[in-house]
Amino acid sequence: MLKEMNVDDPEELLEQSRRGSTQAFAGIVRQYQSRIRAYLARYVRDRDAVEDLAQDTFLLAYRSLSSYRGESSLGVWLIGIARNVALMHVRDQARRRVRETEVLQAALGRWLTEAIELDASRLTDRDQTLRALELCLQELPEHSSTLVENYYFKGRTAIEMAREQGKKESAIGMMLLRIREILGRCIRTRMAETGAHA
Amino acid sequence: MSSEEIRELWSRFLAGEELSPEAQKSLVDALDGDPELRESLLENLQLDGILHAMSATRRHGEAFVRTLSDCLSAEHDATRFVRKVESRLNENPPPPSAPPSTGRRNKSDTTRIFRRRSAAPAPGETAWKPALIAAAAFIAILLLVTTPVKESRRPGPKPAPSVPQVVQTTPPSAPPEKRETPPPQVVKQEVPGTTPALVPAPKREETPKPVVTDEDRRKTDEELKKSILPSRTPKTEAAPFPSVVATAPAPTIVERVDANVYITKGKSDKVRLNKDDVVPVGNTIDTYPANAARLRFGDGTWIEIGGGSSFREISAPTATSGRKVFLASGTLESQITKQSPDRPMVFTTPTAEATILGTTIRLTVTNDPKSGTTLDVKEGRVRLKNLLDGKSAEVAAGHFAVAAAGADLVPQKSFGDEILVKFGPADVQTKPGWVLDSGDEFDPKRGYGWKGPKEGELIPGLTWRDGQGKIWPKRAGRFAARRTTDPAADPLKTTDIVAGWANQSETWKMPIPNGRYLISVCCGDISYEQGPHHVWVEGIQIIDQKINKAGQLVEVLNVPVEVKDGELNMTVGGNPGPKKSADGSTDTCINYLLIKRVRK
Repeated sequence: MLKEMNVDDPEELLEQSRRGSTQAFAGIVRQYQSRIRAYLARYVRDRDAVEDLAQDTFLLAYRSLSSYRGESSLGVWLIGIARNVALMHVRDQARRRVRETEVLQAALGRWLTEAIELDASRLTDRDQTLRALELCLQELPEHSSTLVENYYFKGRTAIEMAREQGKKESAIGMMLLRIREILGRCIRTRMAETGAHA
Repeated sequence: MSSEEIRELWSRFLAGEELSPEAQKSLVDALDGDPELRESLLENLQLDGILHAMSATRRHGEAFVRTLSDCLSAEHDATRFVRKVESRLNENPPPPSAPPSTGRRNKSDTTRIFRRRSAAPAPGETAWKPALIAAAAFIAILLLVTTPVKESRRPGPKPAPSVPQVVQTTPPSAPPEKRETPPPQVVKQEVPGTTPALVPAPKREETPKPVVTDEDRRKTDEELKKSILPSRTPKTEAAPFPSVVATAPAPTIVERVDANVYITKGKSDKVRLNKDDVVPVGNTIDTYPANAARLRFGDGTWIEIGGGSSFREISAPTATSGRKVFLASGTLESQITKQSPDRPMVFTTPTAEATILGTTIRLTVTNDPKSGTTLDVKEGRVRLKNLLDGKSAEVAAGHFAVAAAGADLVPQKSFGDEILVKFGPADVQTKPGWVLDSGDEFDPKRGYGWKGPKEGELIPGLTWRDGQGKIWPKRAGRFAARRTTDPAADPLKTTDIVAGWANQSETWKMPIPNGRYLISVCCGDISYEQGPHHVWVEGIQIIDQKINKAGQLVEVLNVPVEVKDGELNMTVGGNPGPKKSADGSTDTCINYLLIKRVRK
């Protein structure tokens, strides 16, 4: 059935998914997982939890397909589900952190909860943010680009990179922070050009 | 605290460093007092998360889709199955004498139906119903157990001697409802291979045990059979009841569990897993790092799910297929009871499929398709299939294999969780747990060795001076050395392999399962000042330009490294720095390498 289906057409995938095709829904997951993951990872630091929550988001979406009426784009609808899933998780974590007296984690939970709550009024499907980020990554100077590639995409740790470069781990952390600041400014500029929210 | 100091602390926190409580408090106070800076740093944190998420999608996006599809398909199948059973039940209404329906069969939701089995009586239900059901099931078991095999399983004209006598509390005319099938304990007693000790203690003692007459027992048994076998029950007397009992799978029980292990039940109810819980097929078990759980299946097979894992039993064994389990990520160890040859147990991961008839294995799955799945076989033989390219291989006891993207599926010798590689001449007396390396080229049968021939080409312009002062041309490669003639000397520290002079380096390798290891290395010539020694393991420089004095060695202990490509690589020598030893030598003398596997 999937062979006859246009796997790039969200409408068609949605229609088939509503009829119970898990293959079609897999097509939707394929198209939207990067956006959902990216959205969740903004608020959830634990990478394994991001995976779990992304799975929860899609499972909830699959079971609620009948309630989706197309009033917003499918991406925004999925982000809405992800937002609720993330909010519950972050609140729960913040409560645990208070008990565990981890001051910074508890405060972070509080700040992130506020940020997610504010997010409700400006849900977008985040595709433009990711595209802007990809373009901004290409514009990084070579040294920064290598650092990002090694740290984020090759899974090297700050300790390993510090050893290789003969630097302190904190210096690598600071370099990464500065690169992210550059990327943040670049994304904002690009988004402003297109009139979208970051 | 200045803005720069705050950013520095924040960057350390994001890089995973554990800040002191004082530093944490200072940072929180500073950010609470400066909303603009806080917003900027939160944006930075969010970007950190997005970049990690992009990486995760690139690395295992397809595995994520497969896992999810798998999950949805299993859910679909379960729903279809339940609908089918429900329709069967509806086709066969209870006998006219049955009590009025409580309306439960009208509910279509799967989970609700299953939950109702153990729920408290609904309003309108009378107290004797459970007693009747329990009595019927109890009698059925007793009859099955006590009736000789050659005879019909139906109760005979005389009661079995072991039937206890208690007061009858159930009207004999009231049959049990269809949905009230015998509880799992009944089935377990009849399934061969069930381990009784692992079955949670039955709570039947709390239920009043009614005693019935022979006539009552016969009637109740027949009614019970009618009720639980609505349409499939053949007309013959002996076959139907035992056949159902024998094929019903025994439940999977949690034998041991740490604190942070969760099970996802029903829709998205994630609850903590407890000892003695029954794990239904299709439910996912997630373990937090450093938390584990051990499951015991009805046939005695056990599975130990390691920390940071996600595991699910896809299907229980049936008359035509074996048990199927799925490890989405993490590690597991399992001892599998001998399986029927036509119904092997199948372990599936996003990258591999292991088909097993009975053995002890260890399975490790990473989220990276390039690292894939590692299978360690302790006993027996296992067929491992790489789902990414369709190739398969048999992995024998004492071997492991990695099924990963772009990797050859070649079984390799396994050396256990702790290996001491002793470098030195071939006649070194080794101790248990040591493997000896004399500088020879890598041999897959031996399972370790060096890249390139032991004696390489002459290196133009390089010479070396032996103990008698004679000068020799220098060759690439390695040679073994013994530093003392004292037979009582510790061979661990008085023998070594010399390799990698000037800008020449030599690489040693050993295929080992992917995972985290602690590496300890010892370098040096105990008889003489030597060096500078250089050692890299998996790209991490463990020894950097160290020179040993006579009588001393350079030892670095327990450096964590991660093996991601199924092979541990150690490079020695090369990279001459400004340091020189007394005689100007540049080679590295490696005494031993200790490899310890780290379990999560």
